[in-house]
Amino acid sequence: MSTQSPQAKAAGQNAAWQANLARDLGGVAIPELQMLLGNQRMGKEGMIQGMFSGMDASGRLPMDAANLKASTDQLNAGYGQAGFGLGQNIGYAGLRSGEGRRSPFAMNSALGSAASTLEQQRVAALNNLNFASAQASMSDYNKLLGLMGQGVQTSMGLAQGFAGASNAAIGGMSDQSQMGGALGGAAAGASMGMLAGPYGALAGAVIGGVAGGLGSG
Amino acid sequence: MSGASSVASEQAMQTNKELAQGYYGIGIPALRGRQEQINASLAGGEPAYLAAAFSGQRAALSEATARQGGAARSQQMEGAGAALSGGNQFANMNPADIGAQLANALYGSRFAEGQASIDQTMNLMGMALGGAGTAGNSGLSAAQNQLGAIRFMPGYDPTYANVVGGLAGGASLYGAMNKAGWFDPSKPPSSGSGSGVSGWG
Repeated sequence: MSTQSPQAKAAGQNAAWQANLARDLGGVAIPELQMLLGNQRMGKEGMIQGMFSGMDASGRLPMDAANLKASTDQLNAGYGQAGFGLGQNIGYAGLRSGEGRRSPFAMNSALGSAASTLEQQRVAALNNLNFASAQASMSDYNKLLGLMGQGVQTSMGLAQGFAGASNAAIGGMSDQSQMGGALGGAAAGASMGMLAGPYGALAGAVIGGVAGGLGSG
Repeated sequence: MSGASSVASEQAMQTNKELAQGYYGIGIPALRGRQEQINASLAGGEPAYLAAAFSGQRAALSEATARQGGAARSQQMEGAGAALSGGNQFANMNPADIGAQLANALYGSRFAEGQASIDQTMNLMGMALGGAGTAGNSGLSAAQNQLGAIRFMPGYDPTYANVVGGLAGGASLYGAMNKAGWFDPSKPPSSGSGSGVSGWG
């Protein structure tokens, strides 16, 4: 026959169930936060921190720097092809002009003039690209800081919440030390065992002390 | 609490617990799966479909610019054909102009592709943090429910008190019976009433 009431039994089962749930959910939340924010105690750098620590000398985030490089390479490749087409076109136009004799100086002059114009266009495009990249980089930097703040707020809020729950659990603990319980039990056991004589008192003290100590732990 | 309300309370507790377990059974695996999906996307970088879309865009831009040059050339050829018979050196669009237009379009597409990928990374990190917050807050609620359940548990284990009480009672009974001579074969057992407890031992 159980010595527990139905209420105490159900409460114990529910408490264990909720404790497992809290642990399971912590197993989802904590690794995610560690992955993004890192864990100094474990010497683990988070993804967001990694982005900040990878900033270049100008303060650009690594992914923005990579995008700028890829776009600049594309731009230069495109203008390189345009310059190649320029030389071909001037030569072709000279052939089609119907002039039997083409001055090489005139051809070079035309090429140089056109190349200079193309270079001006390339530099203008590069300036536009750098400007757009600077704006995007600042926006990304701010977004990343915002995400880090969100993560910190979540972590700190949960830490404080669980610390509060830990404190609240103290309220449910016995306020009697194990030694105090043992002494109280021994005294009670001895007084009751007295009825059976000195040996009864001794036996009562030992039994009462053990029971009191276990009960107060 | 009456017996009927105790039984009804137990049934309500069971029903609510089963419902809660049902919802947790849906929510927690989905939450875990979502986080795993987000983490995989973060680790994988730019999705292949996005790269293919931007690559296709650049191919289309190249073709469109080439068509634009061809159209300009044919229009100029038609116009010049009537006026000139010995060739027309301006009867085409300068490839450098086409090239510059194409270069601008292509680097614009490349930059947009990179930025789209960065934006997606930011979005994924935001969702990951949101999921972590949901999981953490649910865990905190579970911890509070755990504390709530503990409040219904007795403050001490009555088993030991029952054992001690039983032993003490037994000891008292033994003492009283011994005093009355129950265990002394030379003395007939007395009724015990009014015998008192003097003469210990």
